Formats: sequence, C-alpha cells, structure tokens
Amino acid sequence: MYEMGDPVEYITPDCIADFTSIQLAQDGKDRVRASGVRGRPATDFYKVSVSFLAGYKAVGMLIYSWPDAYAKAQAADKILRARLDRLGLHFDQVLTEFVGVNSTHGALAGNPPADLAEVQLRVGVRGNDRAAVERFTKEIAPLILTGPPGVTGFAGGRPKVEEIVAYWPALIPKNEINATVEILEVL
Amino acid sequence: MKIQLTKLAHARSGDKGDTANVGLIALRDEFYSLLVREVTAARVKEHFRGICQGDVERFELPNLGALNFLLHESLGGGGTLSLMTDAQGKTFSTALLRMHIEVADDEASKFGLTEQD
Repeated sequence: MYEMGDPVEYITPDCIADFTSIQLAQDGKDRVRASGVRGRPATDFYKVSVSFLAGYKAVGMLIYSWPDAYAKAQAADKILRARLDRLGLHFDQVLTEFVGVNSTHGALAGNPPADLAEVQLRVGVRGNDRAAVERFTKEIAPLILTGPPGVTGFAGGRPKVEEIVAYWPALIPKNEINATVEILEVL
Repeated sequence: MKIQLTKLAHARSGDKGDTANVGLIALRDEFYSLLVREVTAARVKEHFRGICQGDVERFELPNLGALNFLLHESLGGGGTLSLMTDAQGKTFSTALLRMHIEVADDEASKFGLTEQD
C-alpha cells in the first residue's frame, strides 16, 4: 500500500477509488476476496505528463576499505569539496552519501562500527552549467592518486555527465481534448 | 515500555515527485489502534528530521489496518532531479520501522509483547 496519496481519493483514469471502503477476507488457501469497493466518477481532467530539460548532473563513486574506511571516505569528501570550491565551480546542489552507512536511512542508521569493512563515497552534483558538471567528473581520479589510501571502484572510468529530463505532471480539462484513434497497419 | 515498529507493522514506500509515500500496515488487527495512537504525523515528522523538509500528512485506513503517510519535500527534488541514491524513497518504509513507540506494560502483556521485542 503505497504511492497512493489520499486513500479516499485515489484518482484513476476510470474513477476516483476510495481505498477505505475495500473489504478483504480470506477465501481459501492463497485466495483473498476483495469486495465493497466504492468510488466516485472520474474527474473532469486528464493528466498530462510534461518533460523538460532541467540542467545537468553527474555522480562520482569510490570505495574505501578497512581500516578506517568511513574516516577515509569522509576525508576524501572534504578534499573533493575544497577542490571544487578552489576551482570556483558553482552547483545548484552537491550531495554526499556514504553507501553502507547512510544512503538509505540517513542519520537514523546511527554511527557505523569502527571496523567497518568498506564504504562507498558517492558524490553527486547538479546545475545548469554543463562545463562545471564536466569539470567535477575530472576531480574523482585525483582522489585515488593523492587522497586517502585503500581506495578502489573506479574501473568504470570518469563519471558521465547526464542531461536531466525533469517531469512535470499537469492537468488539462477533458473538454479541451478531442481524442481520435488512428490504427496504422505496417506491412 | 518501548516497542520497535518492526515488531508491530509492515511498511512499503515509494515516490510521487518530491513526496515520499509510506504505508504502514499492522501485522495483527489488534496492533492497529496502537499505530493510530502513537504513530502520529508529528512523530513521523520528528523521526525523519533532516530528511523530510516539508509537512507530514497522515491518512487512516481502518479497513486495512493501515496508515498512509505523505512526507513532502523529502526526495531532493524527486525523480530525475534528485541526486539521492534512493530518489524514489523505497527505503523510507524500513526507516520508519526503526521508530520505537510507547506501549503500556499491561497492554504489551495482553498482546504478548516484551521489551526485547
């Protein structure tokens, strides 16, 4: 049960379903009966999925090994950020995650054990200046050569710059649309 | 006593743009009232501090023994804009199950729950 928003008003193309009205009952082995589902007529709108260009991003990753895996990964992040600052690069966002420590549950996961076997440093940047994002991708390799030791995971080469195609869900009144269906036969 | 939600509920989560949607489903019918009482929108907002930048909304589904939470402004912009590993908020479910809630001792023993649980 997820990705539904308000369960009383789950909007589908056919109707607005009320998930609080569903009754579930065991109906034999590996069988569930769903009944009593109520809803309301569909809305007066179609959903429009609009895509637009929203800048560039790149993500760099390195894996640090025991001993002091987490401390080394943290030091590498600090070095990388200082380097980006000195280069005068500006981004809309710079995000550092430590995969194996906090990339899923954040601070809720608490501190990692002192003898952590390995951790992946994952740094992402996003912005409108493609050249700045490109420059960021060239700052990962130097960390391997001059940064904290016991580092690997760079065999894939320099991170790739990605163009961001962002998503804008919007609504349009149904009476603005004349739907036609054309069937093309390909011989 | 304090009981961790993982002993009381199952959870699933996903994304709608920059909003994380977390469904919390009681493992047994009798646990639902505990979830309604203790796992409030305010508690969830506090639990996800530093992660959820916006409001938390809660919806009740007593027929399914479930609560549905919307955590707004939680996914670094959401979708392709997000730099997060978990841009779809799939692990907000298990992050919520880390929460401990207060259950009165007599209530806990009625449900067969102990502190270690």
